[in-house]
Amino acid sequence: MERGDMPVGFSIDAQWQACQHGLAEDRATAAKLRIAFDELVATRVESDWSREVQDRVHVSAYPLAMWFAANWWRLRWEPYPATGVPSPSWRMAHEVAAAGHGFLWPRLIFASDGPTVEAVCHASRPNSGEPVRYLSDFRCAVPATSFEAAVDDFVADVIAQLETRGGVGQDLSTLWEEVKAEREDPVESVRRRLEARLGCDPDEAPEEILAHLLELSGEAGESALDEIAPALSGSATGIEDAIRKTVVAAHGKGVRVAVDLPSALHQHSVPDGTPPWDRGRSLAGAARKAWRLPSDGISDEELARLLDAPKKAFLPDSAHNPGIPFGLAVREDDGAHLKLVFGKRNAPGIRFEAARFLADHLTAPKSDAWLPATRTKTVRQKMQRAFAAELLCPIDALDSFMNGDYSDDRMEEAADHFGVSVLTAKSQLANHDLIPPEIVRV
Amino acid sequence: MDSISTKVGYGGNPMHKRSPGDFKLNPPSDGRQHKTLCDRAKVFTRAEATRLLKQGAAYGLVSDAMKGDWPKNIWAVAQNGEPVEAILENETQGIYHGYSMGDSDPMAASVRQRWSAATCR
Repeated sequence: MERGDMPVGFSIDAQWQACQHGLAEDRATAAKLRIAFDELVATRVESDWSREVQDRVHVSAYPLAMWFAANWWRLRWEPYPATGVPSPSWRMAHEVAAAGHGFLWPRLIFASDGPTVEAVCHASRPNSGEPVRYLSDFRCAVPATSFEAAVDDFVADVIAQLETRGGVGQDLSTLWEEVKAEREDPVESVRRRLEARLGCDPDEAPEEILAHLLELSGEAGESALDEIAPALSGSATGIEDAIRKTVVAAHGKGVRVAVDLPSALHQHSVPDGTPPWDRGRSLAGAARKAWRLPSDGISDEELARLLDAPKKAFLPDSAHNPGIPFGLAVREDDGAHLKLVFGKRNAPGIRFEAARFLADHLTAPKSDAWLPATRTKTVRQKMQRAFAAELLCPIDALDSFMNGDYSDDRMEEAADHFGVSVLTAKSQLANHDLIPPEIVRV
Repeated sequence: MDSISTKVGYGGNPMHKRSPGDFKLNPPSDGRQHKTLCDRAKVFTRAEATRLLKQGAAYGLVSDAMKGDWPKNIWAVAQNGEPVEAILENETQGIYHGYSMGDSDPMAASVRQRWSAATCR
């Protein structure tokens, strides 16, 4: 089941139960626990013994509350890893099953894209041999404010329950007070957020790296740095080296372009809560109209004309490798020019990245001088990708081109026709329910 | 870690037992809460549970988090390849109870990896 399109509410409800065994803090917070995202219930289980299905699981709330408190910064701010493969550290910080204490937790994963926290729930594997089997399988997006409120309420309930049961498990209230104080401190919260975006637990990021990044935020922009940090954390040569190369790339050679920003584009808005992909598509439609672009894609000549740069500037240049794991555009002080440093090394990739830079230039805060196009799944990057796909490969034109033939050969012809990758063409079709999403993954 | 491994002891928790084994717990098993089962790791004797606990400590598979003089958790891999976790239940005497880590615990893969590295040393 997919509920990834519209934001949903989030709740964690504990009905306290008596318990005779186990650790004092586990006994004190034994509960029938229900974790739900509107009508989607992550704790729907079938008992192995009775075959009864219920929406609550018998666990102890203390380990889960400790897990939320210990991982609060990473849960709230760290996106899914850019490499596509989560490290053990990422999994420990984002998968509920890491709450441990020997309870059968749901296979529920949280990953932040900034304004929302995505929740992904998987059913138990068949024949697991455990006393209960989780049944729910879904994906949904929780507004960050709802995520914070649900976690705040749950942890406060658990602390109150521990207090009524003789004050055991005080390490939870001590840790939670620290987290709350950090959240309320404007300086500390910026540091913790950046640390989380680098993929580090609290106090784990080297001090000199944090200091270097915070210093860079003056030049790059605070929001830009939020985007760059998760892209640096997967660097093979280390974060310090990746920061150095990023600075060199920002100050080095690039493609200088001019961008006309009509007022219609500046004024383009979408309702609050609009998912990033819808926002990107809507903006691409407005851009096509404002820039008087054809409705059936953009040729290399039209792209060059739009950006006031020679066509050859968008051809692969094997002699130029900035050595950073993402693309970067740098705004010039005049507000009309950008320097584009492409991370992609092939023609469709360069066209796509150029379109992403346009999207970011149209929407990024004015305080951001750097416009990164990274592989991470933050809301800003999702919006860029949706914009670029719709600008270069408009869905109506693509659907018309396919003419009901979704074979691999036709996909390749479409990618060639629109000057995009086969993956982009397939993703456009899947995102508009014209082909099953499984075909994109294959 | 050798000194910890000689001092730790196994207590046991009926909530992780379907089969009572020779643990002599009271009650022998209690499945009311939804917990992973020792049965899955085929640990049915106190001697085997104690051996795994001490072996895990000797290999250094212990948590950074401490409670008093004791690591909060100790990990091991049962003879059937199932990763198991022990949690401190008595801070005065260093007594633990253990359980199978289950399919979904992201720590399980790291435990297998570190156990394998330690046994190859």
